[in-house]
Order: sequence, then C-alpha cells, then structure tokens
Amino acid sequence: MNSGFSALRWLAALGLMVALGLSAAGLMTMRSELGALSNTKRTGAIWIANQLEFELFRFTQTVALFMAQDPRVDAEDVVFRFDILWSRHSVAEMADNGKPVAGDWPEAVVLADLGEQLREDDPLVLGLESGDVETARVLLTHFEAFAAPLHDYTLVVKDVQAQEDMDARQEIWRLSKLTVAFSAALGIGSVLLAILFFVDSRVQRQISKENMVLLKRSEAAYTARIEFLSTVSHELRTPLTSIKGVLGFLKAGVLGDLDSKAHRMIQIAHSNAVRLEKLIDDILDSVKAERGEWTFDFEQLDLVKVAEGVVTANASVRIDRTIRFRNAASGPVMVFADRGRIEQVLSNLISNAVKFSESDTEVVVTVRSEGEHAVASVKDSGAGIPEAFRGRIFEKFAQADSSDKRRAGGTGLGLNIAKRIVESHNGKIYFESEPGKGSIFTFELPLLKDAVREKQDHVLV
Amino acid sequence: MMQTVTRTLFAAAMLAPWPALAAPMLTVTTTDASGLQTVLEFSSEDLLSMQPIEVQTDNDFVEGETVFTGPLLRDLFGEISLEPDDEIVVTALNDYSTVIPASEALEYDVIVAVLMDGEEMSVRDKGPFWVIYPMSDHPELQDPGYNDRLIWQLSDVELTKD
Repeated sequence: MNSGFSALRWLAALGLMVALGLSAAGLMTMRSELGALSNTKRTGAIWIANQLEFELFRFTQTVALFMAQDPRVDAEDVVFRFDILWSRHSVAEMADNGKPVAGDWPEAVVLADLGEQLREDDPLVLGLESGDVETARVLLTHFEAFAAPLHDYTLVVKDVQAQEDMDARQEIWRLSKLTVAFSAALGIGSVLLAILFFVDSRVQRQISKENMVLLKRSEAAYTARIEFLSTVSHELRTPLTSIKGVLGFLKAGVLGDLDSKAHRMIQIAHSNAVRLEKLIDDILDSVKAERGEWTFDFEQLDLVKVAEGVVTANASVRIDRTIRFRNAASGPVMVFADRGRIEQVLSNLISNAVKFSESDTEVVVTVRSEGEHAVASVKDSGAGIPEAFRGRIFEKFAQADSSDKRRAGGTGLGLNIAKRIVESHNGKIYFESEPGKGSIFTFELPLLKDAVREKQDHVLV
Repeated sequence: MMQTVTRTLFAAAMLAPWPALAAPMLTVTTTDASGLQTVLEFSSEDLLSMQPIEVQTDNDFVEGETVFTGPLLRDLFGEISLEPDDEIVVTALNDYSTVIPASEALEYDVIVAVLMDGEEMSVRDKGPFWVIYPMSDHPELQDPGYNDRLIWQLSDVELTKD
C-alpha cells in the first residue's frame, strides 16, 4: 500500500511538472505572437502601403500646383516629392523580407509598374525647369493613373494583414485555452498531491503508533527477564551460601576427621560451590549494571600495586599455571578509580586467561604507562580466540563454544562486566589474538597526571 | 562652422510650409524654460565637422552590419544640457514625428547619421539624415519597439525645456 502511494505521489508530481512546463511553453509562444501583433502597429504592411498611397497623392498634388504655376511650388519641390515617393516605393518593395507584402496577388503588380514608371520618368523630373507645364502634365498623367490600382493594392494588403492578425489572434486564443487547461490540471494535480500526502501521513502515524506499542511490549518483556534473573539468582544464592559454609566446615575438619577419599570429594564439592557462587555473583552484578545500580568509590590508586595484589591473590587458583606479574612502568602508575572494580576487571581477565590456556604455561600481567594512559594487559599462551567469535566477545553471555561439551565453564558475563567497568572509568578495553599462540587482553585508563593528582590531593585533604 | 543661428519668436518657426531644398538641412529648435527659442540649422558638412563618431550596427532596415557616421544626438543642443527627463521630438521630411526620451540619448551613443558606409544618403534612400541607435552593441536595444526611434529622412529636432 505504501509503495502504491509513493508511486502515485511521484506520478502526480511528474504530472505537475509536465503541466507547468507546457503552461510555460504556451505562455512563451503567446508572448511571441503578441509581440508580432504589436509590431504590425506601425512598421507593418498596412502602414507601408498607406504611406506609398499618401506620398503618391502628395507628389501628384505638387505636380498639379506646379502646372498651375502656384508661387509656393517650384521644380525642386517636385523633385523632393518625387524622391520621397521613390523612397516609399523602395520600402514597399522590400517590406516582407525583401519582397512586397501580398506579392502573389494580382493587385501587387502595381508596385512593379510604379517602379518602372519612376525609373522611366526620373530624367523628366530631374530635368524639370520652372514653367515647364507640358512635362508636368505628362508626369501628372503618368502618376495619376496609379492612384486607383495603388488603392486596390492597399485594400489587398489590409485584407492579408487582417487575415494574419486574425490567425494570430486565433492562435493566441487557442494557446490561452490550452494554458487555462494546463493551469486547471496544475490545480487538480496539486490537490491530488496534497490528498496523497495527507493520507500518507495518516498511514505513517498509524505505523509509528504500532511501533510504539511493540517497543513498549519489548521493554516490558526485557524488564521481566531482568527481574526473573535477579529473583532466581537471589533465591539460588541463599541456599548456596549455607551449602558452601557446611562444605567449608567439613573441609576444615571442624565437624570431625574424614578419610582421605571423603575429604577429596568434599574439596571438589566446596570448590564447585565457590565457583557457582562466583557465577551467581556475576549474574547479580550484571543485573545491577543493567538497572544502573552500580556505584563507584573512586580514589587515587597505583595500578602497579593493584595488579600485583590481584596476581598474588590469584596465584593459588591453579597450581599447574604460573601467573607472573611484570612491572613495565618506571614508577607508580596512578589512576583515579574504584579499587574493587579494577581488581574485578583484572581478576576476570586473569581467570579467563587461566581457563583458556594449557597446563604448564604462563599468564603474564603487565602494567605500564603510555602517553596519557595507564595500560594493563593480561597475556596467555592459549589456543587464541576463534575468528568468528571475535566480534561478539564482549557481549553478555558470549561463549565461543556454547555446546554441552565445552571445556571451560562460566556464564559468559566476565568480559562484558569488565568492559562496562572500564568504560565507566572513561577507559577502553581490547584484545589481540593469534590462533594457537594465545591472546592479550588490554585495558587503558586515563593516567592521573601530577597536576591533576595534586589537585585531587588538595580536594581530598 | 557654418551655423546659421537665428533667434526668433515661436511663431516664426511656422513659416515656410514647403521645405527649402537647395542642400539638405537639419533644423534643431531649442526652447528654454523662459520660452526663448533657438533655431539652429545644420548642413551635412556642419554635422560632419562636429566630432562625428562611427557606429557599426545592424537594424531592420539594412542588410547586415553597416557603418553609420554622424554627431551624437546629445551634442546638437549647444550650451543647453540635456536632462534625463527631457523629451526630444524628431520629425521626418514627410512630417512623421516621434519622441525620443533624452535618457536614451544620454545613456547610449545615439547619432544623427550623415554617412552610411562612408556615402551620403539620398532622400530616395532614407537620407539625408537618419537617427541611429547602436543596436548591435546593446542587445536590449534590439527590441522591436526601438525601430520606431530609427527615424529616417530626419529633418527637424526639437527640445523644449520646462
């Protein structure tokens, strides 16, 4: 339905453009037709024909006055009027792009005849002397004969011009009707487009309403899942604490001596209870983070010492792996951070490294300062991280091998929690890994510089 | 300079209904604000001695680019300076008359052509004088409306100051 609307909208817009273009073309054509009509006003064919007829009349009138020996007229006046008549005849012969107007009409032959007469009588006119009444009479006879045919020609020119004007007016009328039609089409197209936009906006509003409902539902489902996770974890943790306590007592021999086999079983049970407690703590921690309930207790810390402490505490985790601390810094590497949380990050990274490396290998924890960053890294010599898993390694519940046969346990929350902690400290966490050779997980925190440190000291004092 | 300057009353200009023809003359009549009229008559030689310029242009009455020579219209009025709002009335031998706005004479090099392609123009060929606008140099002057201003067989130029 939506694509149908879209197509209709484009169609209506296209129609509008076409109508607009055609209207503009119509108006342009009309403008040129109107221009042509207005040009016929003075320099047009009728004006030229009238001028010729008028100047013939003035020439014959002057010749008549000359014959009557009127004192106001002499031979030069006759020549002058003859010249004017000549010039009007030239213009009439060239009127229509070098041809006479209505040149195809029989009446137009008068122009050729008049031209011939002008050339023939030119010597007579130029040679006219004062009192030469006979020559004047000849001239009058010659040119008076053109009055009637020239008038007929003028009428023909008027007819032709009137027809041309009529055609032009009809063309203008036709174009104006077309322009009105296109303008109406423009109006209808605009209304149609407006309706389409209105309907489309209603459809879009409906869709966004439905999306809102879906979003609310999904938010509710998410919250319910978090609540469930939290409740279940709490409910699991309470009995687990007492199970772990009892197992601890058994293991320590508080409840009597056990034979070595039973003691070994109790040891296994206790260490699994500890592991389970750690998993549940991770889940609860993650839920807290999700709800924004994490709190931080920031203080000035020497990352070297913190790392050293964590390494020492984890040294006894697996006796068949060596966890070594390498101090690559020349002095203390100060950061402003939550001690417990940074220890948690380091523990998670070390525990991962131990979990995914082979027996009799080494896990190396290094701390150094680099520019404006405190950098800590944990290197193992394990199998490396599979290429396919790298993109989602920091996601919640991410496990490279989530099958039942997986070798290493865990919820897949450790790295996600580490990432959240580091980012809460304005730091970043990343890894490098080479299959078969091992991985290095590194996190960076802003280095507390002397000036800042002094300021912080001051504040703390 | 062969200029005949006569100062007469306005009525004096109405004399001689048939023009004198010995040599083509251009009559320039100027009336100042006090009503004093100055009539100047220019022959072809007079006009050509007034720092004539050449205008090469096309128009509806000639075939292709043609060189016209003559003085600037705005220079014909001697000491009287043209104002843009003035109107110049130009009249042809056949008594046809039209108005040229002074603003056009001031803005463009409008000339009173005496020579066409170096030759004097006869009455039979739109002479003796022809008002020419530099149409080829200014596209806006190619509008057909300006054809009316190209008055040929020019005989009189008249400027009246209010």
